[in-house]
Amino acid sequence: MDKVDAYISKKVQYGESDLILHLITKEMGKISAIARGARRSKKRFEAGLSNYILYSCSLGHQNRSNLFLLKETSIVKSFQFLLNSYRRISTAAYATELTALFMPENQEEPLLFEFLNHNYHLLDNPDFSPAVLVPRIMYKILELAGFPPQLDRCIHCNSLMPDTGARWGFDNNQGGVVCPDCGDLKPIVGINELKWLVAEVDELKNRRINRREYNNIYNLLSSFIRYTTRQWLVSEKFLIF
Amino acid sequence: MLPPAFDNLIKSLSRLPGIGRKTARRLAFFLIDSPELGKDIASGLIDLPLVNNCRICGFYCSVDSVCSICSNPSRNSEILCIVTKPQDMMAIESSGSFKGRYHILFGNISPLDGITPEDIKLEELEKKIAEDNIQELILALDSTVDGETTSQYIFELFKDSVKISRIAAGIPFGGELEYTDKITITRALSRRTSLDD
Ligand SMILES: [Zn+2]
Ligand SMILES: [Zn+2]
Repeated sequence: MDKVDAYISKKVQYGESDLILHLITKEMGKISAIARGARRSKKRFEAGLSNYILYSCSLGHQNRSNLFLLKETSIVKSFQFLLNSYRRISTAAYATELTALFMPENQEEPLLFEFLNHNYHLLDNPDFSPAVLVPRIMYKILELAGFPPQLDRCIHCNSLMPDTGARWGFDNNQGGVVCPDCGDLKPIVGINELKWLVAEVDELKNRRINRREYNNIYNLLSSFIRYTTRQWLVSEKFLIF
Repeated sequence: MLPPAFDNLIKSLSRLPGIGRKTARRLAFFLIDSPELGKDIASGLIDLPLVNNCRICGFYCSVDSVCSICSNPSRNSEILCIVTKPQDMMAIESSGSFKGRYHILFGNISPLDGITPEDIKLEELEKKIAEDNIQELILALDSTVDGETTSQYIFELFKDSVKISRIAAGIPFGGELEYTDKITITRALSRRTSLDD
């Protein structure tokens, strides 16, 4: 029997009383597991197998199936402050879904898991506004997953983005910004946007991001993610602030 | 081997929740032997389209379009209890402890399932708050993360226009503390009430 720490990224009802769960685990990457009788028994599955909770899960193997059997769960950490805000919940949902998108199946990816876990803790902390965390979440997950967009210098001529506040366009296909000399793209990001992506956590404490900067980064990175993965995240529309 | 009508009945019955192929067969054989019951069920099903949703709260009613609670003048129309589904309204009604009116959302907001505020009956609620003389909303949603998400959303949307409260969360009556999960205990403590209230 295996024990893993996990967040639930998706729940699907199966038959009358079973649930099939998609789990983002620390030890085994992304896995699917069936929780038999989960909708009847509250005893084995603490807090009714909820999203936005870190669980310790006891897993068993099933014959002729790559679906694990979820035998028991207990709460490792719940996030009460996070659950008191619609924006925080929406941000946690997006971070979870985005992590699940890039997490390999049945293969340990501890850095991605740790980053998700770290963001749950930040979202549970009143010092951090959820909107301030979103750009960093998007950028870092792309970076950890091996798809970092190049944002500080032109993808064609390598010239550095100026610190004048001028905005450059972004090329989804090349995965980077394009200077005005190399292309005539709609200007989207400048140095002011970049600082939100690469900031250290402490620099984000008690900060507010203005709507324009937020929207510029959000639109750029979400369209790049869609372009790269050909996937549409259901939680995406909850992040338009 | 069985006549097609009988086979079709088994197929239809087995699509009901909790009914497998075997149970469906057993029920079908039972119905064949009880023609009167069969007729009653059939006429009940034929009348189903006559069941409508109340145009005020969303609860089931007959075609005249306002349910027995919304049309009852002795119910307090200034207090609205917000519930997720008709069954929740029935549960509160059966307790006999609420004398106001209801609004049914028909779902909870759930970012991970892609269910947005536009997917549930919030526009109708907004209209009621703007047009009727609503003094208080009581949120009686599920004690789940989706119920919580929905409560938080409604609170943020209407906190400046109406008084909003929510039903208490805590240890169920007859429940033992020792067997209660950590989240319930945390909430019961943080939303504790004074004994002289
Ligand atoms: Zn260039
Ligand atoms: Zn009604």
